[in-house]
Amino acid sequence: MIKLKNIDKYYDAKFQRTFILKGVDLDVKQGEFVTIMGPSGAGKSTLLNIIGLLDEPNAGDYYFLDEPAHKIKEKQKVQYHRSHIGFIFQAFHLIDELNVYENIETPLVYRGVKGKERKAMVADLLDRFNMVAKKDLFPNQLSGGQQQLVGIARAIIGNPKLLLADEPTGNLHSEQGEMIMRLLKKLNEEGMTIIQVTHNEDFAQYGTRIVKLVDGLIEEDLPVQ
Amino acid sequence: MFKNYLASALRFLQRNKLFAGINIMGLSFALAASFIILLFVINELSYNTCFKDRKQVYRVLNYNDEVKVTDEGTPYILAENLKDEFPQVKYATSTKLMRGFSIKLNEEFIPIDKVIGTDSEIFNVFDIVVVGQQGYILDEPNSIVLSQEQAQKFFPDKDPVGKDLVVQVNDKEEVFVVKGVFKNIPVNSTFQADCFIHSKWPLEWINGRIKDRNAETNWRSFYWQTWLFLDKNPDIALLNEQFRALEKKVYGEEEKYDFFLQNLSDVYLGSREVNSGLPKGNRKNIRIFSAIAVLIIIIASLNYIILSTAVSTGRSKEIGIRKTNGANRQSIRKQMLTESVILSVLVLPVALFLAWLGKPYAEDLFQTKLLIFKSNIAIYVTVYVVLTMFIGVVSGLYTSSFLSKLNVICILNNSVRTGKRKSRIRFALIVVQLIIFCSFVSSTLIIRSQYKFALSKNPGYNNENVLFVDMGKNSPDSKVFINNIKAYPNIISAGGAIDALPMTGFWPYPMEFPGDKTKKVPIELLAVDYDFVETMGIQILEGRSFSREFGSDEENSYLLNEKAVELLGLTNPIGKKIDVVEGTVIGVVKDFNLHSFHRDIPPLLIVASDGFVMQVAVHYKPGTLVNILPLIKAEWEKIAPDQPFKYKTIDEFKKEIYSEERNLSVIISISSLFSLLVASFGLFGLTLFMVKTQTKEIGVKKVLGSTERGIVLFFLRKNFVMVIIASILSVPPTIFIMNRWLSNFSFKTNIEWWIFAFAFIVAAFVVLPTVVYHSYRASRINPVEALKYE
Repeated sequence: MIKLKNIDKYYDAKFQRTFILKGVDLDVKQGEFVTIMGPSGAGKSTLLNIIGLLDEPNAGDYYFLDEPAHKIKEKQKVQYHRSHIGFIFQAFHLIDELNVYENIETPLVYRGVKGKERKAMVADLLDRFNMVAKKDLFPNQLSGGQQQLVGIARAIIGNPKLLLADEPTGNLHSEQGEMIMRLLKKLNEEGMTIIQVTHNEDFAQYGTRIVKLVDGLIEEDLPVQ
Repeated sequence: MFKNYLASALRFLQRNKLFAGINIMGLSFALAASFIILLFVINELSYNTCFKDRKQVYRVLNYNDEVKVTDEGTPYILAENLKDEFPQVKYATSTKLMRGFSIKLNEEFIPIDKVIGTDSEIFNVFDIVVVGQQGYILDEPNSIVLSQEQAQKFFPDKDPVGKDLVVQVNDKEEVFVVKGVFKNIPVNSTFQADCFIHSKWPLEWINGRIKDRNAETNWRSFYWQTWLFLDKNPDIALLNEQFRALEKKVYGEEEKYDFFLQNLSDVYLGSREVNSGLPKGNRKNIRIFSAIAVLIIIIASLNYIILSTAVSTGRSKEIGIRKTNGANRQSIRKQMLTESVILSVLVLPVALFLAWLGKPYAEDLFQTKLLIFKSNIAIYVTVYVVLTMFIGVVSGLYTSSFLSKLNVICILNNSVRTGKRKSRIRFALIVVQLIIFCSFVSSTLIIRSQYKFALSKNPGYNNENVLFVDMGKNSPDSKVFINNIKAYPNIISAGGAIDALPMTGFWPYPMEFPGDKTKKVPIELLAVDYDFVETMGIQILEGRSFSREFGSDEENSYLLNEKAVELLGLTNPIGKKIDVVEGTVIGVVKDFNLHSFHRDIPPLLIVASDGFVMQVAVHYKPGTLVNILPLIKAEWEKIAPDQPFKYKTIDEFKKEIYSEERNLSVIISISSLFSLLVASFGLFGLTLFMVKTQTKEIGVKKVLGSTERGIVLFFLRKNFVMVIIASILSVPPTIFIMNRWLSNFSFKTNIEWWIFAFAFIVAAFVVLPTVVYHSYRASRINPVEALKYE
């Protein structure tokens, strides 16, 4: 599903080139749950951003669903964002001005789903996440765990093939974190491909495979026992 | 989708009440001001649009080459002639305003204002809707057609057609028959009438008053206005040719009367140079006011842009999220545009309310009633709504393109900084606002100083301690009146003339060039009595002034001014015969400003005559005005007990003459106040914002040892540079525009450098305290607090 070949990402300072990623090769198959781990500044988030088509590599090839992603245009990227990729962030990144219902609805709006259908889909998901009672609340009225639930709900409402989670539990205490991880595992079991970045060894165990990144290089790539 | 945008926009506004408030206030003030100005402009431009076929309606004007004056006066016979001989003329009619016409109601004669003497063709030329009987309703001499308003006055709730009216016309009583009623002519029409009567009556009046007793057929009796209704798409060039031929036929080769056509659409705004009794608009004013409205709107939109891009950093997170959720640039742009349009639409009712509140003051300023014409309502609504939307779209465009370009990763990593480029643009926008403000301030000052100059410059005659008594009409009693008031010790002297100084009307006369009968030169006439020259303190350079001692001055003595001497090429003018009515030059007066300072000093011929005393000038001892007024009034009541005593001091008169300049200066100073208000809203918001976003920077600086003063100075320096740049850049456009404005004057002040210095100081005074206030508050914060932000 995802094929990274010799990916470089660097910043040019005056006389120096700083590599964030160097020669990264990565294959992710459909249905995997990959955890990317590594110390701060290892390039985890950058890698995730490149996979999520938010950032572009400076060199190397990237095939997303067998399409050469390093060649696709802005317009098509938007299409991918609409239908194939869901994001979850450490800081939740809900829209403060919109309530739970509207936040979850947003991706559908951009996909041009009709109002009635939208309503049904959001209601379904709220039901599944046990959040029906909270649908009219605003993000700042929710706990961190609940906010992340909304974040996940929003990420998966469009039924994406790929879910990218950048430290989804980073801002949560362990109990909430576990809840989120269980949810992700469940989603994975239902067939969704997930790539997450985390610092937490325990949470890494929820996945099927762990990739260790150090200083922009893949140091270790092992399946979870 | 729209609902989603709307929700987030409204909630964002709610959360940022201060910015939203500043934005809405700035916009609504600006819109209110421009609404008022546009109301005026639309009304002015709407003149005569009530006549559907106005493209085919023309007025015949008459240019006299000898005195270089264009007049609306044409001979009565012209209309008939044109209809018969010019195939393109479909209908033609002559009109003349009739004075002293009144209608009897309950044993009392009620004077009617706008009585037009004409014929039935008038209803073909102008589409004036006649209720009831149509056709040739003015063909009989005793016919009268009333406006609905007048009909209601004389026949309340009854059908007046066929009824008799007793009228007073040409000082006789007559019985008229009402032949029809026409719908009231809209106020925004130059052609106005309370009633139409047969042209017989004005003809009779002309023949009674003026010696040429055949006003019906006389080609030199220029008392009538001629209105034509031409074929569709008339060939004006051909008509002009026909006019030349006609002139040749009726006036011969020599005389210089040029008839030409003016379309009805141009009658209101294109008649500045036409001697006409119809109301005139001022195209220049319309331009100035529209420009002011545009500038105000620019300031407000800039304000909007500055504030919303500044605040948008708060929105960038939302935009980043929307982008990862599948929003493309287009949809972000659409969203931002929707938002600014929504905001501006929210502002619309507020602005309308403010405009409504401000209207009475504006009426005072414009010296005109700001009416809301029913026929214009569609235009008002369209213009207002379009303008509002336009502001929304234009200011939304920049903001949206700016925000939609933001990079998602930067946003989501919280690394959006108020980037250099962005703040530079904002800097530029504020500078533009300040430029407009500085230009307003310096323009106000320039107009003020020209106004002061016009009031105080010595025009070459007594400029103070003079008052003019309006005689109302020329009567032999004026002599008695003048002699009586001269007897009072506080009155230095008194004398009569045809008009007060500076003269507002002008009477050019084609004078034969001495020694060359074929050449004529235009010279202006001023008719005075024996004492006027002395009363006004007009300086005699050579010869003598008029004097009773010589007995014959009234018949054949003339004074010339220097310009006239030069024009006529006279050396040693005293005693020279000149050919007006065979006379001798007895003196030369120093050039003085016969008219206002707008006009050059014309060549002038002063004649002595008691027969034209319309205004009496009274020169009194300084400070005695209160004492002499009751005395003069008492004398007035002796000679004209039934006439109101009307007078004005020369100061009042000058203020009246230059009232347009005064009003303009007030309007522009209000606009400058206004732009100041809006700009300072923006500045207030922006500084607040800047300080907020730079809290961390300030904290770091303080940790590194910067003093509070240093921080305040840092902000101050940046803004000071802005003010300096703006005030320097405001100079060239101001000088350019003001020089054009000053070119309306033949006598004008210089544009002084201190005016611009003053504008700079005012701008600095407003900008800097705002900055100091905020930055001082920011500089006081505890660095620990500031750095905790991360």
